[in-house]
Amino acid sequence: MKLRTFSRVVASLVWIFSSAWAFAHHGTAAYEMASPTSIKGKVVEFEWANPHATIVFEAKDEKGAVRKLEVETNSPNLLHRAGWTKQTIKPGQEMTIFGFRGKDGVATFRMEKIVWPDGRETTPSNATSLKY
Amino acid sequence: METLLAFCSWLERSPFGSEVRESLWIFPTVETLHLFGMVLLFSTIAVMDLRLLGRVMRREKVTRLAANLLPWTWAGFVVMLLTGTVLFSAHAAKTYIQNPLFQLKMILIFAAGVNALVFHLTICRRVVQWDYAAPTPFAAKAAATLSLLLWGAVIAAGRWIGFV
Repeated sequence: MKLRTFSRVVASLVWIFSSAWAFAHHGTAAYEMASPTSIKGKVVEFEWANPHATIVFEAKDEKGAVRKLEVETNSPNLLHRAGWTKQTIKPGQEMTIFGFRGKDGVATFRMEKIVWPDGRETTPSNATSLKY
Repeated sequence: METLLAFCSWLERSPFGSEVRESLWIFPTVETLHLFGMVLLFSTIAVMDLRLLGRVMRREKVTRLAANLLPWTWAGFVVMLLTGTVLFSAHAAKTYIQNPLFQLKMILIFAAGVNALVFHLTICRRVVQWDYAAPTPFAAKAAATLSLLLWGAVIAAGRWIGFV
């Protein structure tokens, strides 16, 4: 195939996929991985789902303002291997979640670990260190 | 559109959809089969299209190549429909049906189907006249080019679903 034709084909495909939508990226690219932080609050719902389990979380800041966040974590397979079950997280549980905020102020959060009120820690994988 | 969303909601909340979503092994296994089906579907389409473009198997009769490849193309398509439906049911309403790239993927598959249908109903009717021709008629080359672009875009759209 001529190089010119090939370039046109590639350009068309690139054009198709770089158009109007504001892509809110999934995967760790969607989170502020350089700024580890934590949120404190209460579980609203726990979804044990492929490809990512999620916690709907009501985070309360120091001023008392409440914000609803969708906290993303690993697949059920990985969670299971880290010792989790569908019942590990329940609505109403209070906890502090360490991780990374979603970029551009999007109401998402990527979990690194959970610290319970009594100081116990729960991680979503068997990795001992989740440094990025 | 309301009934479509309602159906997707029902599917997602059904025991079937819930099992796919929550099972430790179903989603990754079915997704892997989805990939194998994609390889089967796309590779047989690509060989046929490249033949129509005069790039491969130039001395092979178009009709004979088609007779050998198309059954596998159909088999691949069936695998994609079945595995795709299973994967779709896990997050039908909450995610997929509202995802712009999933919607684009469905439109592209439909367009690829229309392209194939037009090809079969027009220039392909006279295929015995150009079975050995080199080059093949322009209409055949146009259909083949469009086919490669559309199916390539289907694959790309599918991959991007999780990133939008």
